[in-house]
Amino acid sequence: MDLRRGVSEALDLPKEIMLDLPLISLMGREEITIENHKGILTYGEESIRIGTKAGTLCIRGEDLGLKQLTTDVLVITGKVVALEFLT
Amino acid sequence: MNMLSYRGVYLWDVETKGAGVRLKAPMGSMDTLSMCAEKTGCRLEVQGYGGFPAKIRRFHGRQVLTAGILLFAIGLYFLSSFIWVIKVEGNERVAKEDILTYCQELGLKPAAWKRGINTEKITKDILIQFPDISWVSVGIKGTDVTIKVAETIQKAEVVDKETPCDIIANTDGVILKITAERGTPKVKEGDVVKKGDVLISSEVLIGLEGEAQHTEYVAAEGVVMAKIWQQLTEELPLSYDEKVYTGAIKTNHVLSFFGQDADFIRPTLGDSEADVDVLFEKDLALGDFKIPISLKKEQYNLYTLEKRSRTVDEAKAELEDILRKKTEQSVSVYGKIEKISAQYDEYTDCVRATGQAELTERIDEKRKAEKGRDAVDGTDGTNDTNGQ
Repeated sequence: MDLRRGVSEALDLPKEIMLDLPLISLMGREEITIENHKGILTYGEESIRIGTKAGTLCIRGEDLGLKQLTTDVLVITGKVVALEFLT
Repeated sequence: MNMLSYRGVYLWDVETKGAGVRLKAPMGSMDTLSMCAEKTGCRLEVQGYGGFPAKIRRFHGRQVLTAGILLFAIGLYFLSSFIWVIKVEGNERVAKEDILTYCQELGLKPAAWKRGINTEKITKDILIQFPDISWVSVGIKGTDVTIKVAETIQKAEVVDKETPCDIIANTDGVILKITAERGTPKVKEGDVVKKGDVLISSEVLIGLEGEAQHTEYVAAEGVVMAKIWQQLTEELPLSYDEKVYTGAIKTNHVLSFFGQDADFIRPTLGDSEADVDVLFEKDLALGDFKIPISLKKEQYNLYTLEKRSRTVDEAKAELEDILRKKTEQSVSVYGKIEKISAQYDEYTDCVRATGQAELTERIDEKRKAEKGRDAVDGTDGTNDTNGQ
């Protein structure tokens, strides 16, 4: 892992590809796009937990909903209150 | 959901509903959905079908409607393969009609097949045909062709002062005034001249009297005003038909297909006749695509033809007016009408006027001089000098 990190930093390569890390994009607090996810762990209107290589990502908010779900990309809409890595 | 996404099934608009979730998935993934639901112990309930595939499914069993839609789409595609409107932009000196007529010769005209039009060739040909155009762009957008042109800078009028030429009379007349700017005047006030007579000669004698003189040829320049006469003849019948409008107005709607009017319900005119005014004409279009169907609204102003007659005096007065107007049209900006005299011959059914208009008019016209035409230095090349 350290070698990969070193190579990615030395060659300025995208870490989300080299290290398989999630790429999380926020549009205001209305929409979150998570690329490189590892699946949904729990799903609810107030809290959604997503598995990622960097750990379990917990999204808390109001009226959360899954707008898109594919193998690589996951889009969540709603009013986002907090993003937290649990492990 | 994880299992589905792992198997490449695209899910969207996922929302919780009670203890379960409601989601949207492609129709082709129903087998995978069933299999995943069975494996995970979930109950799968199809709540509805939507989107384009579901809409297509609605047309099952409606062959005529489907055929109609297909025919409409094919017809629209077919009609959009033609050029319907040609616009010309940017022209000032070159007439739009001239450009359109030439484009028609090149095959670019309304109802022409769009794919058969070579815009590059038309661009080049227009540039060659019209020297006043310096740049052309022929663009096709939808069923419209826009020809954008840029014209050259207008050349200043070049007055040729080198080529020797005479000023001659362009009509018979009596000289009133002669102003020679260059050249030798050959006539004076009061002289009677015939058409073609030299008024100001290109020959100029250089040198003082008694000394050596030689002839040079110049481009004669000047203004010659003369009194001229025009023969006039006009005839007017004593009985004629006059339109008397009844005041009745009828409107008519016409549908045109490919420029051909389909006027099935024409208003009944009875014994009257009518002048037709087009109130509006609108070409139908779907977005940018012009459909070769247009709607026209016409107004029929009904009139009857009534027999009228005019007296000989009325006819004479009208003839005098007609003669004056005809003469006014023939006079140039430099000329003016001095007098119009007419003699009227009365017949049983008409009055004929024969007369003469007396005008003051400019009669000078340039003509290349016979002598000195080939002289480059302004002389005729012969030795005309005295004593040398």
